[in-house]
Amino acid sequence: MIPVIQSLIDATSAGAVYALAALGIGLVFGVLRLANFANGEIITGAAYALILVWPLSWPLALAASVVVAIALSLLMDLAVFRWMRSQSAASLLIASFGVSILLQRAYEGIFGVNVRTGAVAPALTRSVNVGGLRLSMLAIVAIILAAVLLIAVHFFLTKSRMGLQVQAAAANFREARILGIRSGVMIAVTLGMSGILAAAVAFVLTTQSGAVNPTFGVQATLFGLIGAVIGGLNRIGGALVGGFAVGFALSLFTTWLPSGFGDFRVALVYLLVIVVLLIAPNGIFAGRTAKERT
Amino acid sequence: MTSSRTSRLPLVGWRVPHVVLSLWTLIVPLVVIWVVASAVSNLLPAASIDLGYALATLIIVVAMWSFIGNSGVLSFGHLAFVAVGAWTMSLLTINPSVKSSIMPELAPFLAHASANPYAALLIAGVAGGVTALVSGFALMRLHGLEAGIATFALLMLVLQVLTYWSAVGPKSGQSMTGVPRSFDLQSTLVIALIVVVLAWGYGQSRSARMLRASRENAQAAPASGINITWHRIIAFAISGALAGVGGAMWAQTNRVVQASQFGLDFTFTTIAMLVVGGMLSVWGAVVGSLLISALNHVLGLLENGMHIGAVVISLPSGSRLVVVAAFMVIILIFRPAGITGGREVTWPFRPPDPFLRRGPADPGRDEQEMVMFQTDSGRVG
Amino acid sequence: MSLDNTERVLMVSGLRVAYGGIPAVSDLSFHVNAGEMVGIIGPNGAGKSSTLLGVVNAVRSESAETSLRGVDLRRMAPEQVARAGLALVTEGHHIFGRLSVRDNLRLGSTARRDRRGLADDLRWVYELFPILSEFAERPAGLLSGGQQQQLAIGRALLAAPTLLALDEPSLGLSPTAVDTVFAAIESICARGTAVLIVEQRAQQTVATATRTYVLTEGRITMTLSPNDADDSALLMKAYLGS
Repeated sequence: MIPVIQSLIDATSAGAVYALAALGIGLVFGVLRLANFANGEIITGAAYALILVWPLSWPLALAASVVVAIALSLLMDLAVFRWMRSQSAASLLIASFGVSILLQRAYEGIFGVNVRTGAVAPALTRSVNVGGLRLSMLAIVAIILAAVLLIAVHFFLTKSRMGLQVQAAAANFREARILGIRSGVMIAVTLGMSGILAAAVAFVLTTQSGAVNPTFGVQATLFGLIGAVIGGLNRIGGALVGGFAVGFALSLFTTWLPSGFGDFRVALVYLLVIVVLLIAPNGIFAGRTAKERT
Repeated sequence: MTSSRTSRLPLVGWRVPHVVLSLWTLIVPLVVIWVVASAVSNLLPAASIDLGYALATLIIVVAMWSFIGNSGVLSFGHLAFVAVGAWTMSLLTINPSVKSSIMPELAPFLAHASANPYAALLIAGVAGGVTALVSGFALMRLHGLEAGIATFALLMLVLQVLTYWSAVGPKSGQSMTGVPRSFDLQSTLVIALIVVVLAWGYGQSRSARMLRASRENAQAAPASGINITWHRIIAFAISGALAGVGGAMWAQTNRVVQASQFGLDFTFTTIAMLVVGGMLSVWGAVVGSLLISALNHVLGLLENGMHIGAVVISLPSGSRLVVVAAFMVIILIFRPAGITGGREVTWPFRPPDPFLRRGPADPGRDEQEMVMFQTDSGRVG
Repeated sequence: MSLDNTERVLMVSGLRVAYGGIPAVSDLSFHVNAGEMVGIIGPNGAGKSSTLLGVVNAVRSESAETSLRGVDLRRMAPEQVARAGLALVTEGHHIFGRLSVRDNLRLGSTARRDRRGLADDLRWVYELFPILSEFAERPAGLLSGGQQQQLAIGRALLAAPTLLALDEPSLGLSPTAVDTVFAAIESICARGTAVLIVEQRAQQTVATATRTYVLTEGRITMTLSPNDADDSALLMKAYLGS
């Protein structure tokens, strides 16, 4: 019984991380119609900031990772996506793939091909014993961090004036502009939020691995993107749940696959995704939403 | 192209038959490939290794076109079929004794299987096509953009299986060595030309035409009774088969095959080729892949340090992809339909039939302008 | 500024809108004065919607003059046009279906400059369309077509616009809903907001509007006054484009 609970907690924490990644992707897609593959390199950038600055000062490292993530997010829009607003979502996706590859090579050039190691938040790598349960501090922190961010995003979107405007821009960008909602501000706010979410993902992942390399963020982003698709890319809540499901499944496979099959955990997650798509071709939460994006 | 159409006087007085006009869109790319390949192998013998890679990549890009260009749906998953094709070719042509030593855990039927290169090439195509057909049933029912993203899942699935499953290949992460060079440059060229003919021929089919109709107007096609999903699956399977052939050709050129070679970098390079050339026409696929291959060759020379007079130019390794990525992004911003505008080659001697004028693949520039906002920060409604 | 200018709310001259080289509106000139309700009627595809979208720069357009109370709108982004005081209710009344009626109305006040009058305006909108107050907490997507149209108009009014532009507000509505909308438009006009309305319902528009332009194939072919409303032969001719 106890190992089951332990693995469920681990899976929840892994799910929470990928839910954050998918949420960032879903928010940006809602407003900009950009399924941003280069979100991975935003995570990687924040991860480098954490690993390199942490030895100097941890508050500075946290601040630096958030600043780097937001800056990268805004800069790639300014340099590339801003000039493609009238183009199709497919073109934007391809462009973001290009930006992703370009940044990976840039990181290689700046930080080297090899892994950079460093302890981020070493205090969190310990485990605590609660009534026979050995709980990883990091798993708990990840769950709390994700919960806080999700609640914050939810309140921002539904309760604040600006959040309401972001929602309107996501539902129908042109109509929002005709109402006087400032498109530039909405885009910047959304990109900023996705930057913060990417920094949070980077924090959990670097604490876990204590290492970063130029392709560090790719897997989280692939899982996030694919999670967003199976949840329904058009619906922010759907993306969130899709991301969570992918992370949750991956963690359970890691724990429970018999030895010899452990190598196939990632393959199994992707297989599961394809099976889900066979059963629910429009994403788990689609159907209700299709009408509204015109 | 537009100006040549209107400004030139007709050289031929009689009406050019349809067949000639459409064959023209096939003959020009074939001749261009043949001329480029012959020129490189005769004039730049040093580049002939890269020419082999260029032709294999050309096959892959043309294969991708036959799905992406006709359906308008992106695919990031075609390298999965390329990998399957490369795997098939390697398993069927590597010397059995070498095979048993580098892949001791290989399933018995694979350990014993072997075939002559041409049969192996065909089987590689079939393997790629079957993989595409099976996965197509799951992926092709999605909406366009979602289908494109979901193809990443297919690629990752196939790569993970090929990496870790020692019953179908080497031990985890290792490579298959000793793949024999089965085809010389001349036969590689002929095979590439045949693939272009096949892809073009599929593009002329009724199924492909319907798919293009659905691409231009996703709402109207189902209303007119076209089952898009089914035609998409057909396109996916055909292009998967051609990609399998491309993978086989690539494997026997590279002679070492490893799952990680078919990852995101290779995927990106092929997508960039398609985008730069113009993803809606065979002509675009051909132009884009030849151009980027040439660019890659030159950048490769620069990475190794090139002497120009007394000056040695050398680029840091990895700059190849940076340049290609930057080039692609610039094309996407300034010429989103690609260098060819996504159009097929047009008959230069006479203003053609107005119904044929736009060719099978128009990039839809007009729609883009229609929805564009007047201001710089504008976007689609 | 001359007296004439202060009376002019909207001045459009030489407006052109083209989609991919195909003209939808060519060389269109019209104006709306303070306190007026001006109609534009015409058959399907005459360029009515393009005219409105072109004025607010939601589609690519060019003109010799497009100004609101003397302020040049031509180089503004759509959101700036809204903030300058031109509220457009687009065809098909795009409300935000997942948001509540109240949140939709709240979004309407984004463009307004003065916060003080908002409470008054909201009360007025609720008086004009009592259903909105009743259903304030409902998701807007659950309202009927006529109610959504009322919401879209109410939302536009909360921007306290100088000019309210409506694109086919009667489209797809039941006869009683159409009457509600037209009655509301009259009281909006009476309260001092100039109205520009694009319609297919010729008779009702001509009868209510101070002046009605007939648009055919992207050009104004006739200008009608309320007296012409009962001249069905004339309206017929306007429609068929003679």
